[in-house]
Amino acid sequence: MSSVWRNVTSAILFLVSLIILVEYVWVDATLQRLTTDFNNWAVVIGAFTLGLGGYSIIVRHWRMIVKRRTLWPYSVVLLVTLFTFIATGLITGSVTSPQYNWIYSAIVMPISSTLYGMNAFFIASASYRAFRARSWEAAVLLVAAIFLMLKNAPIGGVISPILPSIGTIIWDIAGATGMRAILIGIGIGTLALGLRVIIGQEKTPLGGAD
Amino acid sequence: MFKVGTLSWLTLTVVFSFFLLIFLYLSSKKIYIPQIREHPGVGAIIEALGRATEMGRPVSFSPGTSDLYSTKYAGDTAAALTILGYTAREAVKKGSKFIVGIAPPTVLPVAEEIVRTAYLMEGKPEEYIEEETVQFFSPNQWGFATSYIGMMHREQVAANFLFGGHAAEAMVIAESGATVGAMQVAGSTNVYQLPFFLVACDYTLIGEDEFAAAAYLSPDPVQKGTIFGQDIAKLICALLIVLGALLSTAGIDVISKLLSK
Repeated sequence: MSSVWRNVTSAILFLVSLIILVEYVWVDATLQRLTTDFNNWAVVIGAFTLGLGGYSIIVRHWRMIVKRRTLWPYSVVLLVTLFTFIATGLITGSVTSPQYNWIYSAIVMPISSTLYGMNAFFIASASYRAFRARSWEAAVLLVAAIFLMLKNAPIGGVISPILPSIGTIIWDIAGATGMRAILIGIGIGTLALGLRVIIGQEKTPLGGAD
Repeated sequence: MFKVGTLSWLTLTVVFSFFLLIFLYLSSKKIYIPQIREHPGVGAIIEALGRATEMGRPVSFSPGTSDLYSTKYAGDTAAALTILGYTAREAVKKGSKFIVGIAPPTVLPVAEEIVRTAYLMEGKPEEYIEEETVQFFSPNQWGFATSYIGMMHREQVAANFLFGGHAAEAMVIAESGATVGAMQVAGSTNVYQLPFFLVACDYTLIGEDEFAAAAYLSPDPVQKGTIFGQDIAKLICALLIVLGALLSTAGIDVISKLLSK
């Protein structure tokens, strides 16, 4: 990105950010209308970039098929599915048509749900690695996790009513305190990064490098 | 007229911004450049890149699944893109193959520009391959996760970086990265996904560490001034909390009343 264009981008960003920030605290119909327009523009620009994304997918997978790269048949499946979706939407003239919805609810939804369900197994294997008490910190993590599991699993209360209470104390006091401290840090960190971007000190998120 | 409940927000934002800008100014004029201890997570980024070079295997990077205009995680994505700039340059410098997986379409052109510039700045523009170096997977959370996992397995990546806003797919991707044997460094401000990264990755940048890393990795020392400003802001918050707790215990709710204005 040329320096002139980058300066123009930074100036626009500064002005837009200022308007949105002022609108957040000040009641004004014009500012509110401007902010709504800015948000709508962001959505419209976002829709255009989806076209770029689609182009990127088609080119990459077509290249994989042509060059017969590893697992290229999956690229065929992807492109066929992609174009089937597009064709169904265009032929039926609506993304809410029964045919379009059938593809979504019969294929996309079950696959998504399966992947989400797999989280449980991934959590178990990751926990097994993380909870091995190889250090003092890992031992603390292990003990806290045991009490929290006993708090959530019915067996904890059956063994002793004290066990779920210890888990509740860990969750409500230690957990909540730590989480709030992290959230305060995140808020201040976001402000710092936002300021650096707005005043043009941080240029990478605008594309390019420092 | 001020909106109800925003006056305290505005006051704190102005005060914090003042400290951030004053230290940014002092750093830029070389009056005061704070010394910052190295964060283990930031050091791990450099270590992971070196490991990938030694093994002769690729490096993968995800700037998250959140949009650039997401109200909650836009800052996260911006920080991830800053880290992407640094990581891409270092990977190119070391001669490692670099692959970026993209979920939100709005991030695609920005990430392409950042990585293309990194190759250009390292004098290797011919190594940047359109649609291959920066790959768009899917705006769908699970579509992205499966594509990213597939890419990690096919390419047998040696280092994997997960930054930006990740949601439920964080666990699946991070654990698959561990299966591939990649050294993984993650960072997130999503407190619900942080535990997943903590257990599955080698190093995790917790919350604001991700923003600090963006300034820390910047070649411009001026950026580090804001980290000191952040610490002052956090100190003010800690003082307000302690003072508020003490006053509330004594039955005086002046701090909570002020903050609700």
